[in-house]
Amino acid sequence: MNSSEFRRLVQLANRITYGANRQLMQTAETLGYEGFVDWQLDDEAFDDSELEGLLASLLPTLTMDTQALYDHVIEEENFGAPQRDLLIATLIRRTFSPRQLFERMVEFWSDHFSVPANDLTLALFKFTEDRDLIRIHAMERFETLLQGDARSPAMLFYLDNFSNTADGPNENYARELLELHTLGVDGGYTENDIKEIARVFTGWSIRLPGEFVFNFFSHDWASKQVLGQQVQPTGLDEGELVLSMLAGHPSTARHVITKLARRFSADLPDARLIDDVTETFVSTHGDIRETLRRLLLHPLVAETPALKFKRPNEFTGGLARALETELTEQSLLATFETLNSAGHVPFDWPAPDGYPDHRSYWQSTNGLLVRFNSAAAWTEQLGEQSAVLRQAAAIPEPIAQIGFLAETLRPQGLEPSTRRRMLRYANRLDERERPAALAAWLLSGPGAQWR
Amino acid sequence: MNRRELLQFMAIAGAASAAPRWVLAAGRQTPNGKHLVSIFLRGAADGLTLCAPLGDSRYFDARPTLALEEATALPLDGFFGLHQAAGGLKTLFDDGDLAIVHAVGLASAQRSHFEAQSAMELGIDAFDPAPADGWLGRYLAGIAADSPLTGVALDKAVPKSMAGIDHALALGAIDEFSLQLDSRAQAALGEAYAADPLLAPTAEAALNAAEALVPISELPLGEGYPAGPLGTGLADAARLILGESGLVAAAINSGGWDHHDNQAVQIEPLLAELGDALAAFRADLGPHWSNTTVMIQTEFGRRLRENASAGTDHGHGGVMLIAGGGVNGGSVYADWPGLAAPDLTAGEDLAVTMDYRQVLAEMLARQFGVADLAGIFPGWAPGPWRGIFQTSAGARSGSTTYASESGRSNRRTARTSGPGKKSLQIPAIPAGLLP
Repeated sequence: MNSSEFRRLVQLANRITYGANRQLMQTAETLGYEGFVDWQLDDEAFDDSELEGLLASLLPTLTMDTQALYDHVIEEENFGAPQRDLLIATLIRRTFSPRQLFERMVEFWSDHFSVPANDLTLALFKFTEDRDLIRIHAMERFETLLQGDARSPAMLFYLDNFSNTADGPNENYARELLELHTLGVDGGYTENDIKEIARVFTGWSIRLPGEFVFNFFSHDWASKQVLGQQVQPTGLDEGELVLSMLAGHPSTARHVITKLARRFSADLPDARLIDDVTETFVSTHGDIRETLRRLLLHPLVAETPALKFKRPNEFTGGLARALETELTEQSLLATFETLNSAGHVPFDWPAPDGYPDHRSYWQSTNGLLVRFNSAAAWTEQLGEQSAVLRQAAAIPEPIAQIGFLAETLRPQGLEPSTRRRMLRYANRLDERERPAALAAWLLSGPGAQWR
Repeated sequence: MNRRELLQFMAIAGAASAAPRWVLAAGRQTPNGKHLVSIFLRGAADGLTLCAPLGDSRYFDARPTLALEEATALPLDGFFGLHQAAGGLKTLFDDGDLAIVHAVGLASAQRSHFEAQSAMELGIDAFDPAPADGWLGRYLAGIAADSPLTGVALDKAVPKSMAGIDHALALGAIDEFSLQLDSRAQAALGEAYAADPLLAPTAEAALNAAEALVPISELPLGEGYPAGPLGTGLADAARLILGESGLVAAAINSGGWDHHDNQAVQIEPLLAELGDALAAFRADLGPHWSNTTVMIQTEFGRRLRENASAGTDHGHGGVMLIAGGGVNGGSVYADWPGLAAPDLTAGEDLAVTMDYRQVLAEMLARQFGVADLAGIFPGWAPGPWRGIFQTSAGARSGSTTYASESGRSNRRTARTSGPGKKSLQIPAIPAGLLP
């Protein structure tokens, strides 16, 4: 394989996984670009029973049904359990799951249908929404997610629809449904559409221990006018119909595809890319796998240089994966603390629009400082837990050691000027500190911040 | 084009567009030893609770469970009153150190949080084409940055309002902003980043700021600040000012103001936090208070009529609070539009009778000596000053462009007779899902 084709594969890996490492790049070389995409798209073919079994034994809440979870958390007063366990499982899966693109899509939908898990009720409901909705349908059809999200206690509680009644409509969900989940702010709706859709969803509420319920008597039984269409008062069906209308609306396709293209290619995705992928989304009725396939194989993605500044969780994922760090309490804690300092703890963004996905937000002095400190602390303190650093320390000859670190931690290769800078730095280091210091330099340097 | 060419191209294009014309035209402005602290209350704080029109009976009619109780509200001027938890604000107001502007906001109604916040931070009206930089960024770009701590966000990221300058810092918290690297590692990283034109300014600013913050972080934290982002943000802002760090503007975010349900319970601690944080900040600053302005904004006000969840949905006209030694405090400034149905925007929201930029512009001109306001708010011109700010000595020459001084006589004229007897009922906790 020539080096430019290999670089393209590294870039693909950095885009659709939480970071390239040696094993992943071996697989990628065998499969080629398209084969690698298809391998990751077929998420159901992966056997991740080992990881999930480990998680289940580590975190018993993961396998509790809604009632058991409610009893465990509320009756037995394990108030911190849902937030903590969801967070731990998420951090572990992102780094260690073989279904990397699937995990990236779970993250994408968690941002799209953002619900913060930062108080007890929200955490309890978010916990089951993540497990029973997002993780089940992340690669299926958009409308399935949308319909499920509208009924999820997490969203019903977060955006107040649980208390939206005929006597007193609450517009919070209706507004964000249109602006954030479907049409987009310029998608062609009016303030009146928001009010009418709020009336459509009157009576959509929550029943303990955490289930959807349609309250017949708090539903508004008059007809509604939504996006120029009459909606007859049929009860629960009205909401399903409106969600279906919204899922199939051209503005929704464009809005979702723009966000998807932004996540996987560039902050300002090419208009032609959006047109082409939107066409696939529409023609497949929102099939997420087909849409992703079109996007990732599109020449405007496959041939475009790395211009996405990594978000903090992509940085921490990249660090842990590139160093092949074992899962330990310390490595998990180090990941969490980095994300905490960078302001990117999963399920902790306070607003319903999800964590930002553009460089202008994440490229900050705080953001870079956290990366500098994190890479230094990680390589110094977790060196024994890193297969790559253990192996590097065993290479006696300095040039060979430096070459090994460069090749392993930056598989896309170093420009000659970068290599010269690395050698100059290596000369100022003593033998004992050299592997960790060079690894930190490579992983917190500019070349490792782009994907 | 390969990646390197692309990076070079972007750096050149970026540098060209980052030099606003007005800087060249107006020359460098001096900050006159003044400090601005910009606080954004995210989520649309309810203006009708922040500063309640107790003199209008329609307020009580529309807010059966949420209206402030007249007996316990803290009266301001016979018409407006503060929540009883906002004692800190009341003290500042009575001391003449806090001005309140009401029925203020984006001229065009925009009820999306994200769009409205963005417009206000960029310094434009809703639906105007968005510039690449924010109003604070444009202000800071006109000031010689002789310190790495000129423009600082006391948050994890730089807000949109500060976009447009390379040296804006996101500090998080000062005590956490320290570099855990030895000097060789710092130098080697500095060299590496110098080769990436897109990241170099940020990396350089991070390395310089970490060094510059060492003496600031050694200053003791002041006392009396409440826990939470307002207290910690203002405590750090105080250290930056007291430490004479060269701070020109700091930005602080406060979240959690989007009260679609259970508003009375949710807003009370936030109002206490805001008042207590400002009181602690003023006490901490001592003589520096006279050179400091705290500008508090939110993206819009909330609907007049409360909803069935004992909360309020998105509205239009809202409130700005301005504290500092240079404000003409102790007054509520408003062309009060009234709460009768025909006076409401879309028949349900408090109208906006003052563009939020009017307040920012007067502050910039009278307190900070900005002469070229068109450079900061392109395509928009302010009306006559409302007298919200004193004219600072250093700023006087800069503000002569605007001779049509109208002073405090332009303040709110509406005063209605006393409201009917209403009481604040504790709202039902909606649906009490969980303990």
